[in-house]
Amino acid sequence: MSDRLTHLTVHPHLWRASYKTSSENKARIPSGFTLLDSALGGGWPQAGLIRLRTLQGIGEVELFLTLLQHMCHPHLLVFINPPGRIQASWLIKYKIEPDDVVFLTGTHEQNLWAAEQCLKNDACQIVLVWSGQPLSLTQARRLQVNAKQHQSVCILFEYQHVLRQSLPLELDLSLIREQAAVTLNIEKQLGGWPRVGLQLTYSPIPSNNSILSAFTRYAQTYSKHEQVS
Amino acid sequence: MLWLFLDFHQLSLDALAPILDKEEPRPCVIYEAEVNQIVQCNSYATEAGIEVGMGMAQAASLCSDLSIIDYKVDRETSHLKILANSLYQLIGDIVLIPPASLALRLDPSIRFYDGLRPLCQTIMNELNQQKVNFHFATGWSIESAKVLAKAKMDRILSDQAAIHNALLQCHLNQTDLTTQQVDSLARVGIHTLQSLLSLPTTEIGKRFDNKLISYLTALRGEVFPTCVYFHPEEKFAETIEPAYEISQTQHLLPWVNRLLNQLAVFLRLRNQVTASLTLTLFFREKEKESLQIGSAYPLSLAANWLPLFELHIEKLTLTEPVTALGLTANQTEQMNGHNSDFFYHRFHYFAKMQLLGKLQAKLGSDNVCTPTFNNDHRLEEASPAANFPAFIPHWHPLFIATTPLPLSESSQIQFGPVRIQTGWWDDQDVKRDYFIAQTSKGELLLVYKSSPEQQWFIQGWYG
Repeated sequence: MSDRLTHLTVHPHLWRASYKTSSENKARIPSGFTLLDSALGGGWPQAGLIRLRTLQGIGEVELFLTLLQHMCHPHLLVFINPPGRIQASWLIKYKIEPDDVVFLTGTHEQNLWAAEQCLKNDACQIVLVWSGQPLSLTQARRLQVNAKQHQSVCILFEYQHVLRQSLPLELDLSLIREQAAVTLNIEKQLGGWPRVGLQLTYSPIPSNNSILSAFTRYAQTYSKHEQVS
Repeated sequence: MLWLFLDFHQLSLDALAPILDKEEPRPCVIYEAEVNQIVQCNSYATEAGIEVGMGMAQAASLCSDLSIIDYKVDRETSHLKILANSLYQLIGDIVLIPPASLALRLDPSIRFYDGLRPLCQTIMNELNQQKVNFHFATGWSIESAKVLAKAKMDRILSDQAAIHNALLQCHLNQTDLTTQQVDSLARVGIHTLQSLLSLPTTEIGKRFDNKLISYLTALRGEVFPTCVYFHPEEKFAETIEPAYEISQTQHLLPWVNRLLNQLAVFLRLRNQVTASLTLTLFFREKEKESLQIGSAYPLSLAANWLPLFELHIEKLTLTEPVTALGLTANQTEQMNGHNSDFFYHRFHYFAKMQLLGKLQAKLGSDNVCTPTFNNDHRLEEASPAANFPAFIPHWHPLFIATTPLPLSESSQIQFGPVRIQTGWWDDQDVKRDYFIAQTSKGELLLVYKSSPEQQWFIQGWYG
């Protein structure tokens, strides 16, 4: 009996909470944030469905920048149903070849069909899907299985007004931005513990600092000038 | 059987366009001296009022800085072979119909592509990449598809009845009948295929020769004339004839690059690499000159070969203008294991083409896009793509709204202003100050104020 039990415990899909990070986790891609890397056991996973609950335009894609850069060329990077037209200058800024990028729009069913086709195809390793309505359990399961089987990543962006449902995922995240501070919650992860309230600092916008510092310097010299006169 | 007929109506121009346009876009026509007719003209020439079929004198009087290139059958046929080679990657049954048409047999390949539409979409994508203009149509035999393509059908029909109906509407000028035969039929009031095909065969047989009868039976799809399928060459040997004579060495490079790209496709399909190439330069008077260019390590990609050619060509001095260039691969060898990354890319190329074909077929090609550059400061402008970005603004967001949305939330400005004042040349002038604003929920938006109503609009999101 105990022999059978040990046989069961070495099964790669069985994870016990007392285990340290499993051998699978070696193949992880550093996220560029040390805090996040340690919480995720080395970085982003190389396969599976990742969900990020987010608002539109808080740096939700830029969070995955290292993953996109790592998995893109010569593979395709597919944006399915993004909130707007993808700007080539943004891609160039982060050294992603615009020719490797495809974006498409369709109905909810078409989007999921396209996501599945892309995950199955060898030319494509990373798919970003925006969904306006919640995915059903079977739909999410299909994406997760396809991604796992073909060693590709599917990132599902779900807006915060969409009803939250528990789905079979590799990694479940939510992102909140307040002014410059970004808080990331790891709600659930395969082979690891959830972590809430990770503070990250990054900004997807250019800063006005040079102008502001020039203004303050000008203001100082001006006020000095005032005093002298 | 289902055949797709592709009629490349301005193949000579398309073959020369990528290099001619780069130098100087100007009106350009292909002229056939034997019949004193313009046979092909580019868009600039059409704008100037030149039409196919005009004589030289009329064309020259319409446009003063017209560049005229002589029509050469060899040039068209060789470019047709290049197209056939590139399509051979996607479909096996190709029939060359010189000088400027291809017939593809679709039915054996349909099941590899999950249906007719993905297959056709993949073929169209490949042809669009080759940047050629063409008319196409489908039919049950090469002859029927040809007639429909000449009638500029430009639709894929798979239903027999629909093809039959379309065929009956065609005028006899679009068939392979000689002008003499068309004239004599017109004299008895027969102008369309419908009236010709309704005549009993014996009646036609009394008045016309056997060739016409066999043509008509082939058109009806009653017999299928044998055709010779295209097979790619065993060895790579291509010659290219530029539209003008080249007297400066740096002008050779774009043409060499083109030959190298053809070589790369050739080698990729055969899973081969080569370590030595011969470049042959042809002159008008002098004997041709050959250059041996070797590499220490067998290569296949054009990007790897081109620097070596650049070095060789730099040293060259041309005593006489070059009229044509030839490239031959001397010895090819099989790829072996240690350069397996070669396989990797080949695999992805085909997988990528297949995926894009599938997606476009299902979602419609307008809904599947690739981000392009436009050398324009206006953000919503979808102007023709530029090959090379003149500037890369660091403040652009990832997502641009297709139509700007009114800003309804209170927000704080984080960055800006960036003033855009441009577009006075095409009546869509824009004068805007762009700011990056953050809402209370943390969303980062690209906003601007529109002048008449003083209303703020959202142009993009920083994802």
